[in-house]
Amino acid sequence: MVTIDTSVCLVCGGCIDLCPKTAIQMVDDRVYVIQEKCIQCKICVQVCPVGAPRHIEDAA
Amino acid sequence: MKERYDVTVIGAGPAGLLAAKALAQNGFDVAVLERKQDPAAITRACGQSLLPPNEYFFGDIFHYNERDKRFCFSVSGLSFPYTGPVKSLYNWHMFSPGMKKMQFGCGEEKKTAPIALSYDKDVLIKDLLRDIACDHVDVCAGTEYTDMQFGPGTIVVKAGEKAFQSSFVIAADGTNSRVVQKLGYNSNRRHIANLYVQSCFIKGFKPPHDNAIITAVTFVDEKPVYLFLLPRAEGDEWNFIILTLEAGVDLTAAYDRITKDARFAAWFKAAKKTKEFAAIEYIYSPIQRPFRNNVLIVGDAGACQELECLGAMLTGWKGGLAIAAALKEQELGIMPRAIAQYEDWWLNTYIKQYDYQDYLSIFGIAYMFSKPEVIDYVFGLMGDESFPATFNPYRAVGLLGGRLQSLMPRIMQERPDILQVLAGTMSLFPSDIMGQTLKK
Repeated sequence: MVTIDTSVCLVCGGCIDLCPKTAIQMVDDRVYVIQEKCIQCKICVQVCPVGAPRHIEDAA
Repeated sequence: MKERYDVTVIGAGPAGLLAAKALAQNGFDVAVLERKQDPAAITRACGQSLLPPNEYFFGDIFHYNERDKRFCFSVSGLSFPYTGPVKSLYNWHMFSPGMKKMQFGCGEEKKTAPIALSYDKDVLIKDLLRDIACDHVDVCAGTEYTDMQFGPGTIVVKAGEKAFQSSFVIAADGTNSRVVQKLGYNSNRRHIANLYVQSCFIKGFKPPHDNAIITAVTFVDEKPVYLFLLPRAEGDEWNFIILTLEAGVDLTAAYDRITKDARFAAWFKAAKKTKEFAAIEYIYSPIQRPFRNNVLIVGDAGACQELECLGAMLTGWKGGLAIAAALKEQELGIMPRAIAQYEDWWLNTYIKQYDYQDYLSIFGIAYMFSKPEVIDYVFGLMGDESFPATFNPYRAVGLLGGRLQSLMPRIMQERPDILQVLAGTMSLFPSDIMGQTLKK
């Protein structure tokens, strides 16, 4: 799964805009991944200038 | 919140707020959607420098009316309050990796008009919000656009559980616009590069020049990185922007390395970060015709014009007026023409006269000259004499290109090897050079 490390995230919103599945949203000025919509394409991980989105391998 | 509005504006940045102002002043009901809780709390990296107040730009003359504390566009008749600080910047110093320098402006401040005005974007947004509150605009903060549906005469804009119905939509959702993606514009645009940005406000920076813009091109792990140092409008803080077109550069680590690097160490010896920002931008060629399905695209959502927000302000204002006129046309049952006129202005004045290829050249220097040694040589040659005072990237690129052409005979004599490098790249568009290099 992909989650946002909020201690690093600067809330620029780039990952929200570039997520092809609109699976990232801003609620109360914090950025969240909507797990049900996320396809783990990791585009957010690639584009974030501060490395806030983290991909953790799902247990098989 | 009303059940139906005349227009829904997506994004409460300068473009969206000025579009809302134009519509509201014409008596129309407007909702502005903004995903942040406080539209004035800036979180995305931004130059916060308005340019240039000394020449026509985007077909208008921008200036700061100090008496009434207003930003003004004389040609469009647009003016709005700005009560924050303003600092005039007079020179632009551009450093190569080996610290060879080119200078725009002679350094004699009082003799020339400023090349840029540093302002405070938080205050700008606050003032605009206050201004449009008098015009009954509903600003819905903490409301993130999620989707859009099209029915006969009505567009439904979804924001989570909320839905906004209106006849027209103005998309002012900035760079990487989701509305632009939704409407399918990007399939006809050219994707050129991605711009990765980190920035911070710093205290204790010791600038090599006062009231000047300082930029540098350098390399981190052999990848080009650009530095922009812009004085903040008030006090002695600076806005330090680090950006790269290369994926995988750790910009946080780059900050530490650059500030400790022998070339820059004296500037940053006592520097402390006070606030941090980031941004990512997919750079596309501009949208040619920004109106589709009763949605008008304004500002950076339709054309990347980074480093200044005059384009956002002007397109927001003019776009808002165009939609206001279109609503009147519908009401009166007269032949529509306002939006077509606006699209002509967008294409012929905003896009064609300010070629995004020129704008990109500023970020293309490292790719065009390819090696630090070549950049140093070219900067050394060209920097002998200062350039006219400008921070207008379109004009600057023209000036640089002109001088480089005139130095070709000398380069041919001194460094035929470098001439060969230049001959190979100068005939290409910056987007092609970047595309070739970045795809490797």
